[in-house]
Amino acid sequence: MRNLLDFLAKYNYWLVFVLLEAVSLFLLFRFNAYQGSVWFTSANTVTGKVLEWEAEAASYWSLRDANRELVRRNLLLEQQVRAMRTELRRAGHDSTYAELRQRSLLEGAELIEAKVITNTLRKRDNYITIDKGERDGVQPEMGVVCGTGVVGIVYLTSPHYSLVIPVLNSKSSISCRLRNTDYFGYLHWDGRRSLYAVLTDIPRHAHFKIGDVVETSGFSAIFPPGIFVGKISRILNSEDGLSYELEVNLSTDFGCLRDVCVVANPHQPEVKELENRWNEEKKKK
Amino acid sequence: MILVFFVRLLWVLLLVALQVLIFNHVHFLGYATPLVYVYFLFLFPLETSRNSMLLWSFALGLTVDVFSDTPGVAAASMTLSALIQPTLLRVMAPQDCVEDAVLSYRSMGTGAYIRYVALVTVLYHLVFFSLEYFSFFNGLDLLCSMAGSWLLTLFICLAFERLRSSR
Repeated sequence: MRNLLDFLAKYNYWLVFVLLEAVSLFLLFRFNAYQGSVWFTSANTVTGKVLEWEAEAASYWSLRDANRELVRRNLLLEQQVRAMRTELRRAGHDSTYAELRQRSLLEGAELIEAKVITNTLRKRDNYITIDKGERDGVQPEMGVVCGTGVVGIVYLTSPHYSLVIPVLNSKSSISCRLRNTDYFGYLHWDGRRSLYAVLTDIPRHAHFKIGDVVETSGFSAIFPPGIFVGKISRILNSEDGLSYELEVNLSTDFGCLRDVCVVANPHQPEVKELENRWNEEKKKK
Repeated sequence: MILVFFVRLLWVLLLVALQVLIFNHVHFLGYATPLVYVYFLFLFPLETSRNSMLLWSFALGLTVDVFSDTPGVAAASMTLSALIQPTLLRVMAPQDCVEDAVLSYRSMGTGAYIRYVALVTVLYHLVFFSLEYFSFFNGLDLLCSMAGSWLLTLFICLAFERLRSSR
């Protein structure tokens, strides 16, 4: 007994070590399942604030570029408005169908504008933090888009910040389809280059060619259908040879992401509930 | 005692700020990101209690994790390195060393000190990158970023030490 106590007194640091390692590894492996873990990410209030200051300081340096970009965009939009106006005048009242369709697409989705405060490209699992949270109406599993295409899906939210899983994350899987043909697959990232992702599960009999447009399918109600994702840049066979894997050149440049929009779909809870009921039914059987 | 506590707290804040605000944005050639907070391990005198060393290193690792979205990775590797560092030091430190001295170029000799820092940092990087890239392994990429980051970290740690001990 005495020896045991001596031993424990001398080597108690091993206990501390094992305890601390256990905590670390718990964090490492349970990060996905454990929703409360938002406190251990850059979306908690303290880290969020610090990183927001940093992002603000950084955005000062890029103000000139941002300004130039804005002026360019403004000109482009001006031109488009002018073109649209003449088009509209010429089309007169015959355009009601197109108008109705456009309106119904936008009616379903409410957009929440947000700013990116942290963003990485080089890791295997990249995350993005944005400066809008629950107070602003952001909920987990909402889609995030930017001016040029899809960005990712909201994963965790705190009152003022949210953590987004972008396309550039090994856990990301977004349902996409080929424009015009409606064959669909899932968009994954292979962890290599930030401009390319892989679209898997495209059936062998689908017709497409390099340069075809990939867009969101709208199946999961996270993104409305038809949002631009990218263009096919290479065609590969899947490992089992049963389907195609398409390398997609992403339209979103994650390297210079600053302004994004969260897509709030008011019908999403309904869809979610349906899915839940379906899962329960399956469990009963 | 309290002074020691506050000095360590200041070091933690300084190293986390440096890592998060500056060095996390360094991706030399797309591979190497220096992990400068490892320098914390070289600040402990020879006879620090092992428990306090483990706890401090864990706290620093966890803080870095929270800021850079690598849950548990830095905390786990810091804790492991903090366990091994005293043993290494006991083997490598010169016999006539004062017990409570913080080791530096001067007390160890430049060559021996560089060897010691290199050994601790290489160990840290091995653990850190194995944990971070745990899920999907890409041999050459992993080796490149590990070696690159290690060299950068080693360089910066030695530079820090020079600054600190030249005062």
